[in-house]
Amino acid sequence: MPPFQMPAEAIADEVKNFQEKLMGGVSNLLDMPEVRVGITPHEVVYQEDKVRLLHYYCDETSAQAEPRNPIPLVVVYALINRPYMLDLQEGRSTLRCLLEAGQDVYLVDWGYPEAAERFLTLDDYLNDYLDLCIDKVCEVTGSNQVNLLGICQGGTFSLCYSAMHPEKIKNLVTMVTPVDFQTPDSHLSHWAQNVDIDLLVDTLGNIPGALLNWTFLNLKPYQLMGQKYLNMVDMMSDKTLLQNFMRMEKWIFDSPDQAGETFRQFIKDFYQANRLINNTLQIGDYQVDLANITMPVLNVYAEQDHLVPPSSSKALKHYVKSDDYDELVFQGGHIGIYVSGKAQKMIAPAIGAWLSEHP
Amino acid sequence: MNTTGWQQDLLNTWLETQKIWWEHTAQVLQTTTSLPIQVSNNPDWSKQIDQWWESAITYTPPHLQDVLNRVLSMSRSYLELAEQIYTKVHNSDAATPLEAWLVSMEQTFLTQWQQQKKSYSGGFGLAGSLFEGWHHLVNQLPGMPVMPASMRGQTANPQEWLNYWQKSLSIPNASSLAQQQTWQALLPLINNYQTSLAAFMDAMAQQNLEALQQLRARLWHMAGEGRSIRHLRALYDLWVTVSEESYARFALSDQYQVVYGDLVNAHMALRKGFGEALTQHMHTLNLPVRSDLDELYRKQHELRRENCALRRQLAQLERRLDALNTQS
Repeated sequence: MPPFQMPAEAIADEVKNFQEKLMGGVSNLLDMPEVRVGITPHEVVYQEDKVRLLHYYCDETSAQAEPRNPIPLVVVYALINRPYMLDLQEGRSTLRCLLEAGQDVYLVDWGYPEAAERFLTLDDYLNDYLDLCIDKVCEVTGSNQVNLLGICQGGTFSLCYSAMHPEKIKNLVTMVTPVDFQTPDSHLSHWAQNVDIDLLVDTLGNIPGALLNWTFLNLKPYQLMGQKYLNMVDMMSDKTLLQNFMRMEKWIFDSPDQAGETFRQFIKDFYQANRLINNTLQIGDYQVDLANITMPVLNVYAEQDHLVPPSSSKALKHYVKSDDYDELVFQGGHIGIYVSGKAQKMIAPAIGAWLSEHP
Repeated sequence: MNTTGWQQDLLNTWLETQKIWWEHTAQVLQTTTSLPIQVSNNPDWSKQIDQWWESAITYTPPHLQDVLNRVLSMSRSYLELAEQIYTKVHNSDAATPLEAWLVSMEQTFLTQWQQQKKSYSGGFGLAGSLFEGWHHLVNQLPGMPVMPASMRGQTANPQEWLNYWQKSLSIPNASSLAQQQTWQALLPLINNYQTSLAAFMDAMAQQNLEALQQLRARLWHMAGEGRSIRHLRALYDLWVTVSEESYARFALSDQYQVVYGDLVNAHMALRKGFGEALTQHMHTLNLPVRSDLDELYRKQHELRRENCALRRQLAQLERRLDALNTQS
């Protein structure tokens, strides 16, 4: 049997169908209002420069109005991309699920660094901004400690913070967090080894979000730069699917620039020298030693994560000294863990339950 | 103008804008329904998309233009694939149209890279996206004028490139001997960047060739099992799967690490060299430059840290004072 069986007429028919779908879909797209993201009510309880601390609460329609866990939960997102991924839309909100699981949820929003922020260091981000936010949460709630949930790069930050200030952290949850930055299956780590980071930062100052985006799209270029947009044509007749697509698209290309000095240290110390697990990481006056992490730890990772390979996250258990270390595996990818229907039912409720079981 | 009049004018302008926008949208919708499907020995479906988009882009709201550009760019590449396959099938002198198409794709990869032609349409849009994506990124980065459009995608003559920049920045006094020497010092950096870019693109072309060979093997394996491709989209999806697998391996290779790093480093070295040349010119004109601004930012950062430390000390002292007051 020949491997390809399509008469010319069938090809022309397929093209005709494709064009009709495309044209009809474009009409739908033009009809669509600009998508809205970030749906859960919240207020700004503290601001320091461009960094904001947001407090989330349930609206009247929610079954769970008051938090049941007296220990507040501080969510730390990455500097890369925006944290509204955690609160994308109705039915796809990790933050909403955490509220409904009885947690008192605060989120650190790092904002969009500008030229004036180029000299911000990891010491500024962690021992100043994050520390001030956590102190503020303790002051507002009357609690001596907080639960910390770090996501992706924010998870790495949470590990560093918990190692430097263990007395302030009751429980630590890391989600799709790189720990071993040099696992053999990590494309990002492999690519970073031959890049002259000093030259890059000295030349550009802040690192443009577009540069990072280009790098991330190159992880799966055939899917992310091509096939995805043909898939979009297939779904453009369904306005709900189209809106979901547009929300994701908005998030993917909403990439803040990175403060130059922080980027320099993050790539050199973490990706190029793997200092977090080599016990040679210095942030400000602190030597970061993961062995200081003795509080309960829940490590959540995604089995099909193309950005942070599971092997990189799972390394954590070898370095922390917690007697109460758990893992939660999600059968999906780096993005699906926040937004998929499966994750909404499984991940955030499980994190909420785990935190409530660790009062 | 009084406040009421100003508000009324604003309202009228807004209503007029809305009206124009809706009229234009209606025109776009009319256009969308009038795209004919053309069937001939050599169809040009992809060009039809271009013509339609050129007429529609003007009326598309700004927040949709980027995503529509991406969708239509990919659709164009997909329709190019359809044209190529259709032509091979329709002109049925080839015994196996798919094999004829694979061979022509391989030749395209080989010849287009070897000859450094202006456009690169092989790879169903992917390789073009990578290439265009890089140049788009390079042009977005601050601190250097954009690459001349005529040189995008080519290994341009370094002297031609240098001339372009000198013209772009025709600063008074730019023709002094010292400044000419400054510009000339950029030549090796330009050469190095062009070499690195060519090496990166050659490596990508080689990877695409290997992916095509794996696609051929996969197709014949399927045929051996009594299965065959019956839709264009199925062929495209299979190509994506095979190419992604091939690329994932390639991207973890030592070769990729070297060509990727060299490309980024060479570009940054050139950008830095250009910045230094520009700084020299600015100094001649007694104008402030980025290093002056950076010095201010550095001072501001030091002051912010000092301020933060003082606030913490103050808070600590206040807590001690409160404790003393409580004791007394």
